[in-house]
Amino acid sequence: MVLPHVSAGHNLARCLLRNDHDAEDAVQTAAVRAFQAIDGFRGSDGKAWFLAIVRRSCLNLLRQGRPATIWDDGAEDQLPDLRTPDPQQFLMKAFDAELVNQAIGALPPDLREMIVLREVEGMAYREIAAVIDHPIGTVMSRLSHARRRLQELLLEGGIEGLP
Amino acid sequence: MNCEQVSELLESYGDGEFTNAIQAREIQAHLDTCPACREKFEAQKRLGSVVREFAAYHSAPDRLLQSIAAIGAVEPERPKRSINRGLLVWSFANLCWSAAALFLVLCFWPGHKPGQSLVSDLVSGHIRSLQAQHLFDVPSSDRHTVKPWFQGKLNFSPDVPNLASDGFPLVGGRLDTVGGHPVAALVYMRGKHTINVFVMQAVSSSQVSSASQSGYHLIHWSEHGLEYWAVSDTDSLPQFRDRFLTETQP
Repeated sequence: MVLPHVSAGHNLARCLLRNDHDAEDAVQTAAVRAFQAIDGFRGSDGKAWFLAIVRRSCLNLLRQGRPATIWDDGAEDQLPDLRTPDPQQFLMKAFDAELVNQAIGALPPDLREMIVLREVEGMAYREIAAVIDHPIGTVMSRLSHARRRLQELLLEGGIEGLP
Repeated sequence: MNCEQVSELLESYGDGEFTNAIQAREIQAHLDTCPACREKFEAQKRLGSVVREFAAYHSAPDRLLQSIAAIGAVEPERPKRSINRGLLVWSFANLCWSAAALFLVLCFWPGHKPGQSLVSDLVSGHIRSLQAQHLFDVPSSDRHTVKPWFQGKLNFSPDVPNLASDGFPLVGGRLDTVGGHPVAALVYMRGKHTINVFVMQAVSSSQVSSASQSGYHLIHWSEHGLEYWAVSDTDSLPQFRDRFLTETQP
């Protein structure tokens, strides 16, 4: 129930906390909690369930100031709509690992986790909603926000990187 | 659909979160003819593939996997080992209390209180069918296809009237769950509005005849020992119920 999702949990923790040591700590704590709570788990989606626990233990670490990141869950929801980056420009550009990881890293954490859960883990909206404990509507608007922001960051990063 | 409507739905469409077959077809038709929206769609897909190709994946290191496997191996034995008599008595007392509490819960919920929790369950069932999951298991406007489809899947047989001539065409049916019980969901349309009719066995006759929650309307009736709950955002539910009842009266 827990073991198959440890890597997904670690990847999520690593993306939220941005360092290996804290990520391992968070996943370890989450696993202990998961084993304690496993009898109460009645759902069918073990991955979303475990990732939700990992996410909570990440938030706890962040609240304790480890690492020093400001996390405001849902801060992005209040921002005015970003303009959609020019799709043509986006389709023409070449990307590499450095640029992509830099751009993902530059996203605020509540948007970064959207990209990780949807694009990397390929989770359905309702699973993501279970992980972040928000309604599906919030998932949709945050994900949309995250995508536009990431496209923008990718385009910006590229212009500097070009010779 | 115009560009604005399509661009609002484009992401859930691209994410495969769309099972409203009618809307999906309309979006595809629009994409086939509108280069600007197609480009937007391509860019959206490219973002996903760029992330999947290049984003670093931080798999759990072996030592973490091993230490978690070790917790998992120890944990199930936790409650056993040396149990003394006092603990046993205490556990038995606890068990009695839990059983009594469970009994009370089962007695009074949700059968005798068909209020908020049932309504919320029905509304979320309706939203789920439109949004993330699937609208039907059996897409058909033929009542003679939909009604027999439920046979063997449920221990009751819902009435499936044909209401197309009243402006409520049948589009399909599916199995769903409400409050943990399997129910039949019949799907009708009213213009662009979807109507889900949840049919379940009568637990206790609910006194609630209509309700509204989160902008959705619910209307309830019972017939032949079955409970019917229609959920939709359309205002024509009372009319729908009247037509439904007229058609199903012998």
